[in-house]
Amino acid sequence: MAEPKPDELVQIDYAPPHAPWPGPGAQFRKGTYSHAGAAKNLKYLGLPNPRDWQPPDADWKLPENWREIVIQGMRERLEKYRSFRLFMDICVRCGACADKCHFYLGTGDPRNMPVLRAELLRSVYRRYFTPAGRALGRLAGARDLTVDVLKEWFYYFYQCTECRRCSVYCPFGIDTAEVTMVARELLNLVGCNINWIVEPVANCQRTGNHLGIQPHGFKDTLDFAVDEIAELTGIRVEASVNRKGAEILFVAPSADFYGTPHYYTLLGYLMVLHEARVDYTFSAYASEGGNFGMFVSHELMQRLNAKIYAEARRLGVKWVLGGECGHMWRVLHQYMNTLNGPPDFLEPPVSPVTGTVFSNARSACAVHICEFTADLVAHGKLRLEPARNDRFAVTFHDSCNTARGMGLLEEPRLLLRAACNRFFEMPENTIRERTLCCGSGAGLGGDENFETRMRGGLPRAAAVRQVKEAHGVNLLACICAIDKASLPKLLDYWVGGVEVAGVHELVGNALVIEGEKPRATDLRGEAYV
Amino acid sequence: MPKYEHDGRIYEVDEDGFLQEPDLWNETVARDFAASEDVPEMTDAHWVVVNYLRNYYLQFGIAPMVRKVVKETGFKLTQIYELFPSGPAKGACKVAGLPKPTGCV
Amino acid sequence: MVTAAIAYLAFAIFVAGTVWRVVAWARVPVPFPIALTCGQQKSLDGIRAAWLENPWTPAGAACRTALEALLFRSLFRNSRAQFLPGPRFIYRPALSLWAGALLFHVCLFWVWIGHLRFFVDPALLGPANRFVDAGLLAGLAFLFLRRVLDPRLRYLTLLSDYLPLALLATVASSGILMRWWFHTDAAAVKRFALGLATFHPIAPVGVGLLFYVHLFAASALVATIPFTKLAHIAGVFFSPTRNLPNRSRARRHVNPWLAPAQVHTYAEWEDEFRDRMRVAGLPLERQ
Repeated sequence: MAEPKPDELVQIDYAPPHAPWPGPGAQFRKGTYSHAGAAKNLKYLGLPNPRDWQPPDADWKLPENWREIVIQGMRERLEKYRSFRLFMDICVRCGACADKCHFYLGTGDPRNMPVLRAELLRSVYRRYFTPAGRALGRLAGARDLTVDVLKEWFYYFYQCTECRRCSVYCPFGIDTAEVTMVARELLNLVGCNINWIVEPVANCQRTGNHLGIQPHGFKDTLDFAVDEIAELTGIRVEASVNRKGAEILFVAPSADFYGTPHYYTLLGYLMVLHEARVDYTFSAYASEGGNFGMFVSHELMQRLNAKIYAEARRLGVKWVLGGECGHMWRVLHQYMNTLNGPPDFLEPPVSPVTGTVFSNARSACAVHICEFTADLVAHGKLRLEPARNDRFAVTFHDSCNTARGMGLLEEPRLLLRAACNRFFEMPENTIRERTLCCGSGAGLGGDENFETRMRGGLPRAAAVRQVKEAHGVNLLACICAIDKASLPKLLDYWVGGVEVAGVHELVGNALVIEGEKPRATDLRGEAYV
Repeated sequence: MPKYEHDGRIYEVDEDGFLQEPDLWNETVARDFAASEDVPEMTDAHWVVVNYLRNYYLQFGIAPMVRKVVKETGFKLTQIYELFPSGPAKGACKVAGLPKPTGCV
Repeated sequence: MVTAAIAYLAFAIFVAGTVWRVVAWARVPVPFPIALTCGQQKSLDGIRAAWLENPWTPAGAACRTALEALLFRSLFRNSRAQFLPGPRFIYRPALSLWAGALLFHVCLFWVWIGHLRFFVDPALLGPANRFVDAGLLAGLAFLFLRRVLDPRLRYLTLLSDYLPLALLATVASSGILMRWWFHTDAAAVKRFALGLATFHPIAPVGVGLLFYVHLFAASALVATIPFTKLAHIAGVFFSPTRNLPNRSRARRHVNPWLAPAQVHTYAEWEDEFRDRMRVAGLPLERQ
């Protein structure tokens, strides 16, 4: 499949169609949608309607009573989620959200405006659940649930990364992520999901992580990382797996044990935790901090997330430390305590090095590694030589979930300022709570939807290009595994000459470990300057 | 279920053209899939990478991480890209009959 | 008497509908603490947290909601993206919607308060002045014209979005005509209004056609509030992304309908991988 060139994709037509909304249904053009969930994964997870199908097929092999299933599912969720019910009722279509969505900015497709994405669901809600919609139909903005509408749901709700940027601008706080999460639950009731999500979920259910790394492979990777650090620094760090009696359980997204450049972030964690003399262990059973279950249903999110507290209890640790990951922290910060807590067998987290009490995490007992390391740096417990990162001019990309679902904004910046001499912010409309998504979040990081990903990431890439031109930025730092997977490709495509790294990779580069030998290279094996 | 055909042999593959049943792999399969990956001929260097991937997969049930492939085969990443134009995780794994990794990678 | 009946009916529908609507929202649980954070969280002592944009107390969250309801905080952030060659985006501040919406809502509220003089004796407040009336019309015109003139807004506007605008325009213009040009006997209107308020309704006497237009359109508007998007008046206070404090790791949020997870347990996991774990030297619960 030939990939479209950047100069083709920048031909974006923002003029809405002449025909009024809703217009023709979704067009499943190659490069814009993800492959259907494979039957074997649905079967393994016990999800409904496993079968062989693909989105462009005319016949989606839906269950005979699929409409009743979806309407009933909608009814149940209207009774369970105030957010969903409210957001179906109160939108005034003021349009403030319209050009806040990166998919709208990158495609010009009006159905990517958050207001119309939600309208896909709202129109069906009106038809079956409101007196005006029942009585007046189209006049009241209501429409029947047909196979074409369901296909439109599939196309556009798997073209939303649940980044919540639109909600920042909404005068009623309407959160499209809530709408998309419910829409995906409804689609899953009749077996309509994508393989880039259900395969990691099935892997995670079985092996403990999205990638399917088995326990002996997990140990092999950590041993390999320990050897690499020893070669580089002359120091053998310890990385225990499933060790009972450790003080802290460390959980990171599994891509950190596998992907490039994620792996260099893992080296950074190992070095910082060694230097701070932290008594911690990894778990091969809870070897995933991320949670693709969140992109299927609240129930699957709960199932996968349960392993973290269960393992913390089995190993007898005092609290949980979590690695660099975006949606992982949406779950750990806003869901875990409710879904699988209260963790009354844990203790309020206290830094064993500085004595800082993380009172903001006293109930969930889970601390972000950036909070932990920022506290070390603020107390002068780490010796950092920022000159070691001098070959980089660095910018920082806030990941959607830590920015808008947590507010972790200053901690990573504190680390970057301590670990790098040259740090430059992107324009203010593109960072912090207004940060732009990488275009591949919420399970949309496959290869087959390449065009959609490049389009969705265009606004982010354009902002990176601005700081590259203004300040010579050649490295983008981030704290999200999906970013680390998707941004290298995105920036190659739109910008060129900008690498991607985790914040802890840069901290690891700058960190002077007590007793280390002079380092010949940085963590990537490249010369320092 | 999509099929891939080479020299009259037919394989069941996934949507990305990866072999569905990794257990059916042998050297002929590797040569057949190499043809789909812009690899005109399987040289010794190709076999070093493919055999490493294959052995790792048999032991650990997953492809090795790229960093490890580079270190343990002795090839630089650029050399691996020369051997397999779509890279170690895609091209080389496809030829070695490994499933494609999914998740945040 | 028909006039009074219509006014009562509209008011009754409004009250019952609002109660129904608000109860419908209120009895649905908020299962997860999904605050949307627009500023720095409270974490380390040395980092200044944004108490209003990322509140960690209910009081902070109440202030945030109030700011949203009274001053349209989020609309104040609005920008307009423009795509330029490069490729490059620029985001210009776009405050016209914030200003126009605020103008409209403030003037409407002011005029509405001014109407209390008809229902209270002696009147405590005078009527709104001509600037407020002009502001109301200008606000309405703005809200209407942007839907018609901006192609994107035109595309996303539903037919049902014009209904409240049409009713509001009818109510406002008939009221303003009566006030400044075609004077209606204010004392007669007050007698009618007081009759309604004291449940001794009388027929309006000596009022013109414009009064009936005004009253019936206002009745229709009030009656449709709970059943249309106008419900946003109450809904804004219920929005869980704005009215919840961001303290989910410090204090557990309880979900009333949650069932325990069907977990793939450690024991099941170890059963599958035990041999390989043993060879790798990993600790085991059972040998």
